[in-house]
Amino acid sequence: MARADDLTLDVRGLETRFLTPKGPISAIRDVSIQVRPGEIVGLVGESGSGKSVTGLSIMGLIDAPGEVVDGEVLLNGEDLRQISARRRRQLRGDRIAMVFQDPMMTLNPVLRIRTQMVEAIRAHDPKVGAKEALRRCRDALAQVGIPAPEERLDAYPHQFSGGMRQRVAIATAMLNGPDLIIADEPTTALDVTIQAQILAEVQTLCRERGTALIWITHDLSVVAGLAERLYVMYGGGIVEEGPVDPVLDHPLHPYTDGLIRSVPWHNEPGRPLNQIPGMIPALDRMPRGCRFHPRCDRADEACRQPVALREGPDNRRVRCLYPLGKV
Amino acid sequence: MSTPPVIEVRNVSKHFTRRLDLLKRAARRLGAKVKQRVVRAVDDVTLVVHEGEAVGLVGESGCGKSTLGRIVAGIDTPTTGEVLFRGDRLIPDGGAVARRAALNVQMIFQDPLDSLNPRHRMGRIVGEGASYHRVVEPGDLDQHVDKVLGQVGLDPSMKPRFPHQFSGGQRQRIGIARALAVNPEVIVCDESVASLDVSIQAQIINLFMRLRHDLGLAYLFISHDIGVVRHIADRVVVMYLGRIVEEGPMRALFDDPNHPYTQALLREVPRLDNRRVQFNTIVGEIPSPLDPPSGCHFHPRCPHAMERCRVETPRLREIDTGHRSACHLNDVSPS
Amino acid sequence: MSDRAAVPADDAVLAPPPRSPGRELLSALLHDKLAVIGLVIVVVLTVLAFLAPVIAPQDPYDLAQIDFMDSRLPPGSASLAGGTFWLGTDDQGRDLFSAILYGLRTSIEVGITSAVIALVIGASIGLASAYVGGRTDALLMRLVDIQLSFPAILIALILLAILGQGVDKIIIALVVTQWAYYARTVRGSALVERRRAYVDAARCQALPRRRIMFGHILPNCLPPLIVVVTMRVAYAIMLEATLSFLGIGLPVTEPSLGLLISNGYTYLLSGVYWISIFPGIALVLLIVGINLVGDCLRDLLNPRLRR
Repeated sequence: MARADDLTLDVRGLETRFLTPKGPISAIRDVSIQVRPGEIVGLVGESGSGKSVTGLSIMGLIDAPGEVVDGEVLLNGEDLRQISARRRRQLRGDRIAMVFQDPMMTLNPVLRIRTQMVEAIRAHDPKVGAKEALRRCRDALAQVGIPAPEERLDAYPHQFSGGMRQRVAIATAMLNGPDLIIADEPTTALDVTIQAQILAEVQTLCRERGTALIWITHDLSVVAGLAERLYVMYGGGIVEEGPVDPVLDHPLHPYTDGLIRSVPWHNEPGRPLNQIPGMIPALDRMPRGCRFHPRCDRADEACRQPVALREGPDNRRVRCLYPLGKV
Repeated sequence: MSTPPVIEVRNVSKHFTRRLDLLKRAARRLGAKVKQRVVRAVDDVTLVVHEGEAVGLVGESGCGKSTLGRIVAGIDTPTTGEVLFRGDRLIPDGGAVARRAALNVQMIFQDPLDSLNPRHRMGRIVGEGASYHRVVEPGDLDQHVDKVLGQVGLDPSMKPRFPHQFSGGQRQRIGIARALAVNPEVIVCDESVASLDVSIQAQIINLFMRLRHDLGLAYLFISHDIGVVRHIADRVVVMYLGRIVEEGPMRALFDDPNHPYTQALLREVPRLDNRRVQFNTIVGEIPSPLDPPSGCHFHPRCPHAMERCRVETPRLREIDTGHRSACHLNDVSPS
Repeated sequence: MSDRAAVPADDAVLAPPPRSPGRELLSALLHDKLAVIGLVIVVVLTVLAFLAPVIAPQDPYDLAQIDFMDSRLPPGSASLAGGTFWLGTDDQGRDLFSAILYGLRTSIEVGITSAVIALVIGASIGLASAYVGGRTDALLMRLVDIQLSFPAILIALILLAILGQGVDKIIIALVVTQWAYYARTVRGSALVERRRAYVDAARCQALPRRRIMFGHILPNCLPPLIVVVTMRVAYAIMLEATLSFLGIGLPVTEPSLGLLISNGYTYLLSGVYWISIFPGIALVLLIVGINLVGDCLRDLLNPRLRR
């Protein structure tokens, strides 16, 4: 993919370390992600894969004992790691916003929704009048499917159900029309019917506004229906990336393949599921070389050496010496 | 099913009453109209699990599936109705017969770490029930525990470890070993794979299926994950706000869902082969169990709702062999 | 494919050696400087106190060893019998060093005995209260509330006024004033623990109530309880000293630290400082030592403060 100005987000070689009593440990290493304007990208991985750390690192929300130690995060060509803290705060919430799994991470429990949303607008544009700000809040709530937004503006977060709270968080993230939203498992805690509603609304919003979206999840099925491109993470690195269809239909990396094959819907009911043997390695016990090799049936001695990301067909990339298709 | 039932759930209801505070109670005494808030978590549910059968119980939050599971496992007592294990009543803290029944129905919990006592070593966690109830002779206990650990794929040398020293998947295996150690006939799985990673989830699901085959276990498999239930269950029960809305053989229910709620649920499950779909959703939120809609609980969200659905609660009716549904639509257009 | 493959071979090698929570706590405690200082003070004082009959130059209870002519000698004076009074003597001619050792022993004995009895009673009541719930719980906790709304010293004073003097009497008084703290602490953590799935699991295995309460729930309530115990032992010792100082605690025949301090009190302003000051220092050291350990335990056992 071209490294050009037409990218909303261009992350190159990102590495984030955490200081532990046993010494520094890299939670993510050599992570590169590109997002075009209006594009919905899925970032998929299991626990410990580093998907959430990636999201937080892009946002610049890594706190001690963690630290982003390498790489660049270009938002519309501007490196978020180089700019001043003030400029970064300015961009955050205005050009780039985040939605968390727990909406209460962003909502203040003791303030009315109205207060919080108006503040979010005025923090970035103090010139907006009270009426105008309120109108924008109302529209934002209506757009994410909250009935009677006029009245709901005066409610406190705890007066909403889980699904509605997540909607408010999404509406708040959307308020200033950011170029990019990073959503970290926002529907994982919600019921199927509610999840479907939110997915539908997010999809429409991004399409209408041209907002780019990184949807972080452990659930391949969710991004299958939502995203255009996928990044699959394992053990703190990206193992495979590419457009949704080829990645899901003909995965190149054995891990992606194993993950897809272990989804129950893809198996004949009652028959043993395809399973990936072994355990997800802990961060401080990452195997050398390809992190997946101890669980991989295609691995050999060579996999104990660092493996580079290789270009494949259809804009795909895979970090594997023995991929399941032509590279 | 030709096999005899091992679990019979008969007209079980579980109500939770929010106790009024002193002021409200006093006001009520004085004649004020203060209503006691009652949640009908489970509302008149009848259900059978046969020998060696896997019954899936699906539904969204607040539908009462977990409460029902706890009642079947003998952890909670129903407000009305009863649960029978091979004809014996299951009651917590009951006598010898009840205790035997309780041991025969074991439960696997959602959060593997929370379900293991952090101060007990793994060997004790697995062996305590078997040792207390003399499931095996005291001299054979070690051997028995080792055998069970082997069945679930745990290394007996890890017995002196504490729960926090295991991975998520291993912890769930410990929970399963604990259940198996008392030789149960029925296992209630309450979201037992929900907190596990996809690759680990597949391992545990396979373990459940292998154990069922090897030991002839019957399962009540409670999950919000329809894909998992479809994979494991022979028969599926769908609950909505405390009531069963549909039940039937797995194939029939998935291929030809009858109740509009089941249809919506199946349609909206995200699936790998649904690419960049326009999500097509049923409207509205799940109503609060504190204040469920009248008549058919689903009517405010149902695209086919009629006047009758607002006033009359539909009964479960057989629409095909072993396939039952609670929907007035089945009366309107007799097939 | 077999499920056994799910256990990688290298796992057993990499896993840390299993240690019981108690041992882990002890090793963490030994890594904290202040706690080690506190621990050393407490251990040294306790050992000295219990070895008193062996190491004390004089038995302060044995009137034959005491010479009234030795009274109020300053520290370092030589005794008529030829020894040295390192810390001086009191107004009856007792060697203060010996008296402090014996006094320490009495104080520690009374403090720990009353704490243990109060702990057993309080913990059982708290546990039962949490597990049974309902009216029993409400009744017991109101009792605790009433108990805690009176100052401990007031209750002790009234009790001792009724019961009279004596080691057993003061232990009763201390137990009565302390049990409620343990009951409330245990109930609080037991209520949290009771809702956890491992209790459900134990019930599902048809284990009897008592076994679940004492074998499963109680061990998980220990962390806050240990902290309360250390703090309460210190408090009990202080309360006992106060009562003895006021002259209603232990009888003169069994001098505790409080009584020693009170003995020298009248001479404090006339330059005979040592009779009060040295027992006072011993008391302060003991209390500070226990509290240092307690503070550190509280930090270690509080998951939110854990590094």
